[in-house]
Amino acid sequence: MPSTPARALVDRAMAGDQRSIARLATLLERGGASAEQVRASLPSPAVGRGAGGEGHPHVVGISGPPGAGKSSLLSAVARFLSDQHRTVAILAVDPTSPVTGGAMLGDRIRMTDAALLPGVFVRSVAARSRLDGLSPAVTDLIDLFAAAGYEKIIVETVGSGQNQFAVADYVHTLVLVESPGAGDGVQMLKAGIMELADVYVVTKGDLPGAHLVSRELRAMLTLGERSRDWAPAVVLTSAESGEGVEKLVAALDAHRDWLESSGTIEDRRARIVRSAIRSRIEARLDRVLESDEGRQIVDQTVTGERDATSAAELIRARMAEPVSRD
Amino acid sequence: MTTTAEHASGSHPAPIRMLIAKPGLDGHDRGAKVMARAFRDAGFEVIYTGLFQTPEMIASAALQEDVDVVGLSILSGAHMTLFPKIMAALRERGLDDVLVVAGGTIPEQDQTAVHDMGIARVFGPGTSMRVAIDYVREEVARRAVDAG
Ligand SMILES: Nc1nc2c(ncn2[C@@H]2O[C@H](COP(=O)(O)OP(=O)(O)OP(=O)(O)O)[C@@H](O)[C@H]2O)c(=O)[nH]1
Ligand SMILES: [Mg+2]
Repeated sequence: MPSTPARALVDRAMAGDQRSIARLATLLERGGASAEQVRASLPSPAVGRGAGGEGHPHVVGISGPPGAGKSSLLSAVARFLSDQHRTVAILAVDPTSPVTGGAMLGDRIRMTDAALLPGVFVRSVAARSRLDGLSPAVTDLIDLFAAAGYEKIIVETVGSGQNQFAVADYVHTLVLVESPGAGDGVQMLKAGIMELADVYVVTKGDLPGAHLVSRELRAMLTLGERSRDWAPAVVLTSAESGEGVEKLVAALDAHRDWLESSGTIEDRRARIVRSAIRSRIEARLDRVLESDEGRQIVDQTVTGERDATSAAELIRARMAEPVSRD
Repeated sequence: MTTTAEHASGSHPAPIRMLIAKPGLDGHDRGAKVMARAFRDAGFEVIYTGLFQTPEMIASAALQEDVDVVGLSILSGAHMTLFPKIMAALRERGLDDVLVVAGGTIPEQDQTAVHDMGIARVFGPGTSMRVAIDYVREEVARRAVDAG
């Protein structure tokens, strides 16, 4: 591998240089040839290997309705981990406007002080082309922070209904957040998705109604059939008082340990690797579709010179060609 | 040798990343919010950090978010003490090349001093958002070419 600017940045990032980590994140988000170069310079995807331990970060996804208190909670979690001399990278994903391409990334508001602490890195990520609330670069960004040695990597996504589970494909541990007043947990019960999360959090524990929500959640979880031998924890937290933060971190660690001891980690790894493969293929596909030739193939299909099947075949063939630096 | 950044897929240029922060102790962030929304609507990725930001918070955010531009919104009149601290905190982290602009009320007689501190442009209360957005877009592009 020749020495490229990407390679030098990766070396510095692995030594902990925040500037280099940040720059690499930008290149990965940008996609295209610059992202391919960075990917080629990163160590093989750490995330497929394990959860916890040297070079094996524990990747956590946290999702829930808008305003549920996710970022405030992560700020408290980051503070707690930093106090324990542990490291955490937070990827806070917010939607991109499909019309303007712009995005308002507001999660950092809750985290600007925590981001100053040793061992904490907060990165705001726009979903860009994806409508399910995740960025196409998310697996790459996880790999980057893994290479930079972060022990916990937490991905925050906004979601309601089904799309809050998109993040599940990329993480070891899925945390779902509910807050008092926000539909009182009924939303997720209706969707029949209770079995999906590994840890449930009821935020704003200092507000009236929070205890009720967590009782309801616990009741639903005991009613639900338990197909796995992991009993999802329900943790009541308050970002205001710090209540429950230590318990939440303990629940995350316990889930990571259970994944390893039960062997379930193998399933999760396979799921993560599948997503990583899928997003690489999608990135390649987008590149081909947006190339001059890709546009030409689309145009020919529009005018009827070509049918969609033969267009797909042509695109697929182009995808198989080695990437040139355009 | 060119930088990798230039080889991004050409058809969709990457959005400009902008940090918008409200330093100082006054509790009015209307101006900052208006600025944040206008830039977002112009296709920027805006990282909005809200009120009461210390120079360290602003510089650390600019660093971790790898922004192309930092927009400071100021009303408090504390610009002569705050801006030098913010610029120093940015320099300390090696962020000398980041474009810094300011919006808000900065009296005429301080403009030169503020410019000398390294604030590239000040957008007073009368400035149209269009002008500010066009300036930032062109200046970021110009600096990217220079850096290449
Ligand atoms: N009382 C109380 N309010 C809280 C708590 N946590 C968050 N909030 C408030 O809830 C609002 C939303 O908090 P965020 O942390 O931004 O919520 P979020 O889920 O990250 O929001 P989005 O990312 O926009 O979906 C803010 O006004 C917070 O101050 C808490 O523990 N107690
Ligand atoms: Mg948030």
